[in-house]
Amino acid sequence: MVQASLPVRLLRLGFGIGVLWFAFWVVGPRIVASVPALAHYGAVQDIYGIRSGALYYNDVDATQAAENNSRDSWRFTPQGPEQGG
Amino acid sequence: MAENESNVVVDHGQSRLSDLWTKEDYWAIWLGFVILIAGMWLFLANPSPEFAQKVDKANAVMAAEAERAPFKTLAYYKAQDDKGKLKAMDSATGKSIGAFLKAPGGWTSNPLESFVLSKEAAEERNAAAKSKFEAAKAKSDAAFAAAQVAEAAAAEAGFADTALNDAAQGKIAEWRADLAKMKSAEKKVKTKAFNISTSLPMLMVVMGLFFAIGMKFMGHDVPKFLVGFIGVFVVAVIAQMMGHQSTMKYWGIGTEAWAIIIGMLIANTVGTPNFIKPALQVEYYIKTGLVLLGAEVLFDKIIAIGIPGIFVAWVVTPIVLICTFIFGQKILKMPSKTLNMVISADMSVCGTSAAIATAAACRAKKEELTLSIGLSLVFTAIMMIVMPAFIKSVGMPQILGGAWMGGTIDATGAVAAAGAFLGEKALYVAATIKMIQNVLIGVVAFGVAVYWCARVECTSGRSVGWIEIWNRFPKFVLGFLTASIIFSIISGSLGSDMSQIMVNQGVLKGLSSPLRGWFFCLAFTAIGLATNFRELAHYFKGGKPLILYVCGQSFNLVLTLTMAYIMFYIVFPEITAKI
Repeated sequence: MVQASLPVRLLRLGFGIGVLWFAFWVVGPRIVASVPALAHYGAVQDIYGIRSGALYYNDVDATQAAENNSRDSWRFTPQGPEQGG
Repeated sequence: MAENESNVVVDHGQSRLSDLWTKEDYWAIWLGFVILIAGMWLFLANPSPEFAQKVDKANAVMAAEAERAPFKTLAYYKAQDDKGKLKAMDSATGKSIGAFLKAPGGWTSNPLESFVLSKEAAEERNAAAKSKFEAAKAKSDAAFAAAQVAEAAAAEAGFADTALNDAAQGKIAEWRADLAKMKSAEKKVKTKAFNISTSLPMLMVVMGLFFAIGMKFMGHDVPKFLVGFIGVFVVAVIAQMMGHQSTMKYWGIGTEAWAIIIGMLIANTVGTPNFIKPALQVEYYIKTGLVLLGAEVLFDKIIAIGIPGIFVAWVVTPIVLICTFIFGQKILKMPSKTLNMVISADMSVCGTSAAIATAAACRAKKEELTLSIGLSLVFTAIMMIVMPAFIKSVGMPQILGGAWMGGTIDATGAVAAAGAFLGEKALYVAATIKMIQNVLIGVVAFGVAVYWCARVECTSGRSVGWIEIWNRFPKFVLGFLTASIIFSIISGSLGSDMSQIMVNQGVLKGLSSPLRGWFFCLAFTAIGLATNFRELAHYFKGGKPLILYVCGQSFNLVLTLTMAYIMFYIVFPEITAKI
């Protein structure tokens, strides 16, 4: 197969970069602005230090707090004082 | 991933002693173990005595508060938070390692901020964020004061008044929400200057030489590999930078996805330069990363949320995986078994990390892994918004909603974000369920590897002996499992608190997880740079992968919700009450 010339290939690369830029920097912010749920979704990630693209539980800091909370709930289950009659 | 076109092995495999230093699988194990041993030496050998003292102090407070009140009090939460701050990687050594391994960071409009932040710029940011922090702090302090008053009122009534107890719990929950916002604002006034433009080239050299050791013994051209590695590393750095751009959080697109996107963009436009090709060692990087991932597969995690968590994560998941695979084979008649298995594992277990492990275990083609991850990303982006919105609209309890999302949304980060959307309780349950599912990767990888060697990779009519299974078995899975078993034993022997501090927040997050991240990024960059759009499109022909994913995920959604409801609300409601 004959490869296209370098200028054509560079043009294709530029087009690809342009498409990505348009999707994430033009269309994306408009979608976020028009969907309140998306804006809230981004805000909670900032609050809890979460990255939604993270792969594994060790990549998400909130998992440590979640695990500690679950384990401590088991070990130190709030019982309170006995309510006698 | 397959190194030749056919998945069917006709000839007998053979094992030799020399495989130990000439085969890629074994080099993945040796390199991975070197890193893990270094991590254990750095973080486990000399634990700070104050860790145990602070843990005991915090546990004593929680135990006392648990006896005093029928709900988690302010003192209980403060003790828990104090315990959560203890991290072995916060030592001087840990900080040095962290600085060296640091990937490009977050940025909004200026990508250079990902690499360099001057002292003046950091101070400017801190000053700009100060007023918001002060407002958040004031709100948090006010909420704390209100919670104190409510808790004192409940205590005065001997915690016998249900209305006062409920009011106190409500005020404490409000304080927790405000505290989280205050901590987030506090990070923004503590921005420090950094400059990774000097550490990144050094990291490139160290990683290149590290992998070159194995390349030398495997008979590859080391100088050509090292030169090519520069190209792969540069693209990986760009992928890291893009993955940390601030708007990516809305779409769940991380570093690995960007590595594939950028790699494919280059490969299918200007073309991958020839000098890079010797370094496109996809399997080598992935297998080494997987051995490191094995150390994070800690089996004691599965009891973190009790039996309901085990049922949702470890009973439902294999059922969905197997049923989806059978559906793909018998009903859809997927042309590729490996693609079927990778999609089934990706969708049912935990997304990209499960896809990586399964693809390597069954020697799937890199295009199949790419397609599977692409499908997963698209549906994750939809589910991570739609599910919490749906859960909120129908008034589903946070625990049930969190368990449902944890067991169904593929990506771990997206699960946590979707849980946080609903609230702290949903976040904790969702993240814990997903963590338990993450641990299932070890079992899935081993099971798939054995099944493929014993059943799939043989001509029909031939039985396969144990020696032949051994010969064909992807040996890196042994390294993966060995790391998992050793670290599970260490974790179990240390106890959950010290394991969290020394293993998770020490060996793993201090050394092996960042390196694992880099190795996967290199692997996906190499995949992208070696992938042709037309070849990828071929695997999507007929839309069967999409149908498989949709049907499997639909089944997953129904079964997970049913199981979560039964376990958390019918069989073990007392466990649910504790969470």
